[in-house]
Amino acid sequence: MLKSLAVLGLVTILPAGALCAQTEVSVALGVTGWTPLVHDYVVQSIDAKPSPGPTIALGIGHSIAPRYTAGVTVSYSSSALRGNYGTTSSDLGHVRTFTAMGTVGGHVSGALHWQAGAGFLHYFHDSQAGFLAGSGTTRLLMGGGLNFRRPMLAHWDLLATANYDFHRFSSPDLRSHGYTQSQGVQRIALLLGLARGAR
Amino acid sequence: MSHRSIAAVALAAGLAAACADIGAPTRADLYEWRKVVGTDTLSFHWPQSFLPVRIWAEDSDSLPNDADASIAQWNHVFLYHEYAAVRVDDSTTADVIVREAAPPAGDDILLSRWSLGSMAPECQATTLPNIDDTRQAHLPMHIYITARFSTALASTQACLALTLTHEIGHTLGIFAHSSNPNDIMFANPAVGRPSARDANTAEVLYHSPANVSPVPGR
Repeated sequence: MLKSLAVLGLVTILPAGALCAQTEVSVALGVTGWTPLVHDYVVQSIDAKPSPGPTIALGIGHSIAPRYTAGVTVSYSSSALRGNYGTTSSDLGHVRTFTAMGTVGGHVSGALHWQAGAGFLHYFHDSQAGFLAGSGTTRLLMGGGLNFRRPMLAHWDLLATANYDFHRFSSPDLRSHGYTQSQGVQRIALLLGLARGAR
Repeated sequence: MSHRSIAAVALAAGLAAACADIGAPTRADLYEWRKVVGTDTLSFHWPQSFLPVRIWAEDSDSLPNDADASIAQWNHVFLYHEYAAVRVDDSTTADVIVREAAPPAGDDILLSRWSLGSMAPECQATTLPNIDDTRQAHLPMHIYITARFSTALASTQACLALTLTHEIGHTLGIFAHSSNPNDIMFANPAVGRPSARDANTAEVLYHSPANVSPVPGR
């Protein structure tokens, strides 16, 4: 994961001239909101839900047609995870995720662009208890979003992004406790950053 | 089918996949965990503000290692951190004290696991939750555990280990015994770890009202 981030980070700090005219790179910071990772019922309703957490996203794309691009976006997010039931809120530690998505995108109108893609999301966890104990888990991911890009400096554009994605969550520990199927989890990320390259 | 129809079907399938909940186990298979004392029924679980519960084990035979294993087994039962325990090195800060000794005489509620000679003669134990008439549990709780034969024997070591898991089950709030010998909370336990029924009982216990409150005693 760190290697991927480092490679994309290096690409973003390359001089603009080193980039192919049809290639764009971006870096953005923001926040990701979640629906519950697990919705359960034991006498009372239980939600295990990450709180909105900081997110960093790096992207690289290349024009594949006059109005379309294809690329890769990776992101890293960290959130506090809490179990909520009745009037109780329990501390389940932190959930950290790394996401890699292959994307295609296009122009909507003006400075607005769309993108959609699929990839994977990996959960890390640092607690020895709870449903993410032990090793993490990797899930398939689908999503899309809108980008607003406005020229700001000679080579840099201001980038505002709203992304939505969803995946089906489960973990080895949940399965060992008798849980079947998986939980639909939706996320929305609002990011602000810089982009340069193809416009 | 038109492209628009295909897109609509795909969107509907995607939304259904994104929203569906996980299939949770029913946890219907459980046993009574409350302690009936006279006309009163005592129900206890540790509040979140007391977690992790601090357990001190006397450095005698394999007691510290057994305590670590027992704590790990019970911690693993709880998916949402309703209960968690750690072993501490300082007995003066402990919420639960485990000693390899016979229990003192007294009139406290005893949650005992006395070995039945023909079934498991190797060890015996007693848990004292120190609950008074006002339904307050004065900490620390005490677990007394003793071997009846040499602790060099593998069977005695196994008995001490599973009995300690049983007694820690009492301190987390299972104040009664299971009638099923496959459960660790069976009065004379023979299994090495909490069963699915033990886990169901513990989880339901922690989502049910308690009428006994812990009171720091130190």
